[in-house]
Amino acid sequence: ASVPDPAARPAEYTPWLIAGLGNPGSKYHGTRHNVGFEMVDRIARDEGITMNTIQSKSLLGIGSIGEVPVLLVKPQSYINYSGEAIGPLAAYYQVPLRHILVMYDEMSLPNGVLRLQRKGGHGRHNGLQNVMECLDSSRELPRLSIGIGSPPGKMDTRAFLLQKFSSEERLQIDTALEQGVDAVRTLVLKGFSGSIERFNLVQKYKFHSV
Amino acid sequence: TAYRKPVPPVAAAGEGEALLAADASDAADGRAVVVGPSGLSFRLPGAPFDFRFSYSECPRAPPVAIREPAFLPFAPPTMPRPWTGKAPLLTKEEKARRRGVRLHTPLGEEAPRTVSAHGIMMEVRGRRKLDLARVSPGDGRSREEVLGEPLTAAEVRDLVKPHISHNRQLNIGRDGLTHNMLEMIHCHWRRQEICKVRCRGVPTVDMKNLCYHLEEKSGGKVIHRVGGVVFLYRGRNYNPRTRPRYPLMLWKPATPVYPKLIQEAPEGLTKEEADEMRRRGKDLLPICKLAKNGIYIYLVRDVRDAFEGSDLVKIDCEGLNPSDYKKIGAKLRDLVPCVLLSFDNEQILMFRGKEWKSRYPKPLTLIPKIRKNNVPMSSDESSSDEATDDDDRLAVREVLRPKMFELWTNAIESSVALMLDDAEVDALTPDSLLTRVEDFSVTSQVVEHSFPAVLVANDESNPDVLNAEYTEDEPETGTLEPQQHEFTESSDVAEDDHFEDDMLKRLESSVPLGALPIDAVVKQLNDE
Repeated sequence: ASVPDPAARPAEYTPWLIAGLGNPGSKYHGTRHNVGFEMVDRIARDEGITMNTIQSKSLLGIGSIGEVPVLLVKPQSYINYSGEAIGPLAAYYQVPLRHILVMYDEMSLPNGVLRLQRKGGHGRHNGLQNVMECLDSSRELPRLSIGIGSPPGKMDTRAFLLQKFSSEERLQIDTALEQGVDAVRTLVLKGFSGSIERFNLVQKYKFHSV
Repeated sequence: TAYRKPVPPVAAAGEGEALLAADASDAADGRAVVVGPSGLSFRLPGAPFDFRFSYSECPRAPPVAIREPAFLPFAPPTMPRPWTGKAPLLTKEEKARRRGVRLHTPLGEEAPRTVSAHGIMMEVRGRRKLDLARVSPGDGRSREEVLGEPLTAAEVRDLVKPHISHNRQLNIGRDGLTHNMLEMIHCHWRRQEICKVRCRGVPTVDMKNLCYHLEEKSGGKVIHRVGGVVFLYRGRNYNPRTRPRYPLMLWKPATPVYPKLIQEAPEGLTKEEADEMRRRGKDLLPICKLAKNGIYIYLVRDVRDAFEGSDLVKIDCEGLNPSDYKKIGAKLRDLVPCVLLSFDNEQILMFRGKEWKSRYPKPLTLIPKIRKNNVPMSSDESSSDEATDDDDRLAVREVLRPKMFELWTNAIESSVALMLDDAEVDALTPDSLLTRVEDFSVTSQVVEHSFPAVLVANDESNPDVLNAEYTEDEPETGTLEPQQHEFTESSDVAEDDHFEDDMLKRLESSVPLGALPIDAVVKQLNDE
């Protein structure tokens, strides 16, 4: 769980900065690369947080999950420069590095499979790479990877990323996002624990049963 | 081959071993082929253990039949009859090598009188006697004595480092640690203290077993292992001259026949159940695709994980040799453990077994179980979202998160942030949001980079005296009070309704004439 700061006023938890990566503008709305935005929207809707503030090139909403304050962020700089939006926000709201959850699309996972990790590399995701560069080049950044599958055949990776989901993929993604909201809630309330490991395990093999 | 001979019943039952000998003289010497519960092995007099073709790769089931007559794959100890043939013709290099010319004759020896085209041949080097059948168990020291005291971590690092990126190595493949590899390991140890062993394919499923056999049979110690690469240390007191010597296997003995891996009705299942599972397994997605000669270290763990979610698990082995995926299947059956159902379509289909136990006390669900509303506050907030007006919600926020809320209000007041009201939030499309953000980033840049100046009161028109007080609103500092005060003094920036106006215009007008240092300079220049 988040460690309450003893110096602060009665039992205030360390805030979480929850950022979803994506490209701004309706040109990119609903594409695979913007799945992080959809996740943020889903969390905002389920937790009743209004995204009503514009600060440092991003749209943000403050609210709480349970008692833990959270900051939902949708960077509106282009995805390859997301770090420039997230870095100043993290500094301004004094969020420690271990409480910055970055949600992004991951091509190495099958479509609709989620994975929560405590740290890791960028996996050639330019947005995540930029975020990590802007945050002390640190690998210790919690991340929620949302699987989008890999491009079929010899399709160009960029074209695949900037494409919208097909209808059956959309169904898978929607259910996955719903499970993701619960996972994020668990993470914020309880931290990285056994239940997160279980979540990862179940997610990994969720399409492997009959 | 067509040869197939059932093994003696004692061995087939897995209870004892049966000795088979090729002929009477072999039997008298104690040279025998042993068929036991662990497969085929070869016993020689004076050998420290029974030799076998592969030490690490042996099925756990006793063999059913053997495929060739009981011959030892080693050189015979004696020639059965005197040799009457001729030595093979020498190659050019061999001839040159054998023409060893000595420049002096040893003392007390008469010089030989062999004359050839190259002068007087002093001596001809004879052929090295290669005793293929020699067995010597070493110099009698125990393994601990040879190894000496254990290495420290620093020593291990120093030893391993030069070998990490070298390919002077021993390759282990689908046969595992074979008998002749022991000789190769000792060859490596003649020159260097470390033998790097690179493993690929089937044996990597069970690296623990492989490392055990490497240590056990060679007498060394595994000091470092990364993935499929093992570093084997020879020991502090290793002496290559007195090392144990084993005869080489001159051919690969035929593997015996083992019982079938796939049964019609495997353990605990009826035939109908098994068929039903095989049918279900047809539409199952394989959990992974194995690469040929890949490294399968995490395969057992992955299969165990997958059994948590589903009772059937399939592994795609496309492109592997059939014997490879059968060996992998047999290993998984013992290690996971599971019941093998089929190897059809180059895929391994497994069932987790009837007495499988989950490692978690509760059954797994797709959604982690946590109560949504841990605190009644959040549920209030979400349910009465429309009913409460803005002030109430702000109050709730303030109570919940004093510090963050303070920062947030500071940001809005100091126009670092821009708050949109509800109607705007509802009407927000991605494009309009982008334009808003871009507009705001321009204005906030103006705010962040324009520094309110304090003019010093002494009116000597001295341009050097322009020590403006810079209160940068660096977001990193987190303290925004001074900057905020400056702004509330200078103009009514804090009021949100003004943000609907053209912000650039407002900000320009917000600074009164004469407040900026540049104005003083201009004024001074004009005066002059």
